[in-house]
Amino acid sequence: MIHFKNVSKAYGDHQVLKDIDVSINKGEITVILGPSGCGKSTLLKLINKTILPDEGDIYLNKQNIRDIQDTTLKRSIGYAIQGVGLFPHMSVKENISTVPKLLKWDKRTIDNRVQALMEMMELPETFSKKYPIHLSGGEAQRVGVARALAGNPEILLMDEPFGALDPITRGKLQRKLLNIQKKLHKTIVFVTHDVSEALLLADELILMKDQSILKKDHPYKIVTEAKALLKTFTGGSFAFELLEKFRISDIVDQLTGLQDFDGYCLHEDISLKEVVSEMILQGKSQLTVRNNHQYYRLDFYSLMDLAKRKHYE
Amino acid sequence: MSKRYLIREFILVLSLVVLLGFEKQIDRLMYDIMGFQRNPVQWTSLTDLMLNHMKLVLLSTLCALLITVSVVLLVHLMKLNALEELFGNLAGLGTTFPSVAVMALLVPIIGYGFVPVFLALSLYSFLPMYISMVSGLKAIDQSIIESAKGTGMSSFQLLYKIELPLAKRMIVSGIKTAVIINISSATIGSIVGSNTLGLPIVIGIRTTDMVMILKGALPVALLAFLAESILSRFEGVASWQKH
Repeated sequence: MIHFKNVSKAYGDHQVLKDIDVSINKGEITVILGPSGCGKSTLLKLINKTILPDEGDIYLNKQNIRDIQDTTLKRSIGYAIQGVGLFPHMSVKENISTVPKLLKWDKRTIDNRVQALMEMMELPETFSKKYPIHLSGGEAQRVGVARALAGNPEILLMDEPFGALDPITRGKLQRKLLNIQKKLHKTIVFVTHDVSEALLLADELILMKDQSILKKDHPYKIVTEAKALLKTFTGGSFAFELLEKFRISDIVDQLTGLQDFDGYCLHEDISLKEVVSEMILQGKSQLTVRNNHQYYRLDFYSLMDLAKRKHYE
Repeated sequence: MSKRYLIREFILVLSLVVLLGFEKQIDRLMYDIMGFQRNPVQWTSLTDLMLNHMKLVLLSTLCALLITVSVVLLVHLMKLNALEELFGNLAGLGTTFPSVAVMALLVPIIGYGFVPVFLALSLYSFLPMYISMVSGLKAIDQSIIESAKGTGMSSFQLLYKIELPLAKRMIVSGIKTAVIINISSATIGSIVGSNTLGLPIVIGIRTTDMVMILKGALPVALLAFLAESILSRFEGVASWQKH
């Protein structure tokens, strides 16, 4: 859907991107992962013409974006950044209505849209008249995402949107994004330097370093096949991070059920990473879990196997 | 909040009206009753002088505002950063000359009276307005600008939807400074013959007439306070800035 052909960009002597050639698929979350300064934000900004390339072309649905008018293009692409950038002099409702107003939608449609988005982002109705100064970091970022989605764009660009948030809020918003994506199937391009975030969110993972793309593939494949490469990004615990992607409910169909159980068991539908954490805390390599009123036995050694099988289904 | 402003302004206006309206009575009080020596020189009523003064201030401020806005728009929309610095420096340079000198220098070219003062005042009030407008626009958080551009606003939409509303306080502050500078500078303009409230001051100094000096100085002071009060209303903290 989005194609980069021989794209290069430099700021004076500093080369930010070198001969980039990559495609981004429709309807998926593509995460660009890399250390600071690798050019990932620049790559993102080239898509909606926030920045223009020095060399090369970028195609959107086979059309060169050079031929698309700047404002038209930007209004059809959602953009969410780390600093959020909410307009402080406008209420939450007015902020979210920005793109629809630019697109000249009628008032009724805009109001309905804002309401629907606020519901989707779990923002209470009372928030619509509030001003950004009254919002917490997590609330502001949710408004930012709602604003990016308001014009119903096909593509959503996100530049480390959850970076400034505390880990719990960040986790909530990451899950929220995955939930929304299940319904909306947008083409999301997400930039981050956080490996666990990347592994959690990505349908397709692009590894960037030193101004070029090193690898592009499903995160699971990268983890199992490009271990050495990934190690340079993350240190050695990346497999552990991958366990974050799966929850107990994802693998119950492969577990053996127990008839009855008395004693300690895990009720909540937590991620497999948290399961391992529990195992360490308990000092046990086997735990009992409960899902949908049924008990199951969960074994440490089979965890990775189960996740793998789940992926290749 | 605005009630306090209103009371203050009411008192100021009332005082002005009294000073101007009852000029003859005050004259009689000061000269005939209290025994100050009457001055043989004054041919324009205080009210007329006051109106001239206000006319001068208003016209020069407006003129300067027009120039400032044009320059800022040009520099900002066209992103001519080099020009922006140039104007800043020019304006700064312009104000290092004392305003009286500027007015005096203009006299052989233009003559006495209204015009040289008008030109000097316009030149002078350009600087505070220009600097505050440019600073106000620059002070806006860049992530706001970035996300605004990302939504697909044109440069013009960005300016009137986002930048100007957010820079409003600084811009108004600049205009306020300019008006107050002009009110006092218009007084000095009487040295080169402009028929403003500076006239009685100048005459009073020449003829050691205290009453005359006060006749000019008091209304000017009241006018300056009034302007400051009225313009401060627009400078207030907006609801979106309050926690």
